[in-house]
Amino acid sequence: MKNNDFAMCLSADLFRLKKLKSVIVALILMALLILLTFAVCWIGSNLISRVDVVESADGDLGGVIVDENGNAGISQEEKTAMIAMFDEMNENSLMASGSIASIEFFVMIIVCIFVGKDFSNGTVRLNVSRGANRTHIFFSKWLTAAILVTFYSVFALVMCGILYSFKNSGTFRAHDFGVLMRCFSLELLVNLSIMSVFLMIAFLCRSSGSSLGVSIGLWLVLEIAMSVISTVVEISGGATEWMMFMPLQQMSVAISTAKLTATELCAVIIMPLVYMGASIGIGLGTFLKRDVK
Amino acid sequence: MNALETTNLTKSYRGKKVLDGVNICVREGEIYGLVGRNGAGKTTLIRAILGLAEPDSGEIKINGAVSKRALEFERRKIGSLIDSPALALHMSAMDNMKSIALNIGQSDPKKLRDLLERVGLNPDDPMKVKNFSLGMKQRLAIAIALIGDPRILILDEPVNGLDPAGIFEVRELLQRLNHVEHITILISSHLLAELGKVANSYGIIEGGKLVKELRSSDLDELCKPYIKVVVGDLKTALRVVVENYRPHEFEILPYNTLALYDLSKDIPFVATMFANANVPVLNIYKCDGDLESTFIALMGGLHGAADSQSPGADEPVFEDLEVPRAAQMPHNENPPAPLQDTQAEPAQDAADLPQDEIKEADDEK
Repeated sequence: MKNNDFAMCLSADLFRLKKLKSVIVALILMALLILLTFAVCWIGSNLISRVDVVESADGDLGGVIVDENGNAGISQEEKTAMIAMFDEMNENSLMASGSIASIEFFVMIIVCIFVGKDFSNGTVRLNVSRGANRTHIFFSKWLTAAILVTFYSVFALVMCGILYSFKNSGTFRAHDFGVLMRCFSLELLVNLSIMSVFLMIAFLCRSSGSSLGVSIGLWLVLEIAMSVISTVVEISGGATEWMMFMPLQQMSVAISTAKLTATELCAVIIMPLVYMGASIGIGLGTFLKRDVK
Repeated sequence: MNALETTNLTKSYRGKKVLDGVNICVREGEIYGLVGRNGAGKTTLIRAILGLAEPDSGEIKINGAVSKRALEFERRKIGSLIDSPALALHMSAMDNMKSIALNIGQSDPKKLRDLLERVGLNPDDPMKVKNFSLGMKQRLAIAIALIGDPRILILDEPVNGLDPAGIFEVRELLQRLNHVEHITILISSHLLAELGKVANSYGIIEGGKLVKELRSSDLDELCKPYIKVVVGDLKTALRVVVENYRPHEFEILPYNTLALYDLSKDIPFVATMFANANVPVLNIYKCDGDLESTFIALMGGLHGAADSQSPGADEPVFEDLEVPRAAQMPHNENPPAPLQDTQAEPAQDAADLPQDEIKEADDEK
């Protein structure tokens, strides 16, 4: 019998994750979301390009207008603007592949189910009673979830890349590739920090149901709170830059194609690391101290 | 050498002591039965030994190892089954085995197949564990406990949910593992008769304390047969008994009952003896001294420690007599069985016992 070390914990966790149906279901749903996003871009762009350009009889009112001969259509400016909007959406779909696939949402569900099930089924109990080191168990689960996040991110990127290339072959430049890699890396980092928070919640709750409930609740509360705060700050004319340091607010910076400022870089690199470190610390500390159910 | 040993192990949950200075000693190669009622602290003790619950104080020794790291290492040699079987319900039996085997570093598929076959499960069955019967889950949990050729097995209620054939198979398996492979087994079970068939040492735990630790030979002594007599007049009956028996040959049990251990005086003799002294005999029969009754008595009776004192033990009737006090020896506190052989009064069951005495016993509880 070999020693019960980290590698063995990891291989067992990966085996159990492989057997989890939710992993495949999430993959299929992500693929559908990506397809849907690209479909919306293509269909929207095609529809707009087919709409007739007319000169407004009564001045440009925006939207659908009617010329002096009674033909309906949109103005040239509006058509150009809308095509540009769909093109940008198309390009963003590639840069924000993880976001359009809602990786953080699916990872939240899978991490809660995976860790919760291991607790409620008694697998964690069995491993601890077999002398497995609790720190190894925790980091093995963290690494398993991190591998899952990376796999989903790569899957989303590849799928978005393939779909993007159908319409935009030949337009992708070296500079775009650099931006793409930066966006992908930052997005992955943010997703890893979010995953760490959910993993911590799963280790605190120790059951699939309660950890899912707490995670979804926390997410909703944070999103609503952040929206309310930013709206209030905007209305009152205050600076909103600090908002990007708040929880779950780094993703928009990570997928931005514009050149990042030092503050933005700090928010998108330091904050995920802080959240990751804090959640690992709390999760591991609790797991080490508490009795195993 | 002791395979498992605890010294003054104490554990509290929310201020309530669940384990209170427990000292158990499981010798290498023995089958140790842990006996106790629900909530007595058996599972907590097992969980502490396995590192699942951190004791407040006290020491755990596994194969002589004491330090945290050494204990972790020694626990790798322990197979366990605690609480409900630890199974991933969405996987098949073989996948469950693989999942745990990977954790232990023992993933030889042939060995895993052998283990499943040994407990009567088909390794090629793709059925998910969620569709298994309770018995099948229990068998799988036992197979999982045996992964990695453990030197110590700790089993909490291993025959839960098994049919009689399954119980027999598990018993055979445990005995084989112990006799052939010299695996030390710590087993906790409510099926006391079943436990009596496999264990050769016992630890009786009650209210978080280890009440007694016995070897098989001690238990045989405690389980000796006796004649049980329910009398109408305890005071007179005792005078007769003291005249005819030596102090260690009889005992006073609750509800006007006497246990007579000298079987050379048979039931007709005893009945005649009481009849001659005008002592009404309400019931008389021979008890085989079964394990269950013995354990129940050692655990403090059917209703806990309050029962360990006979309702009659403190009555003035004993003051002028030299008699052994009750609850030092095992006795069956179940309602008396139908009259088997008596020449005295007609049979009467516990419901017919004087109501004031029953009330008194209940008040004591």
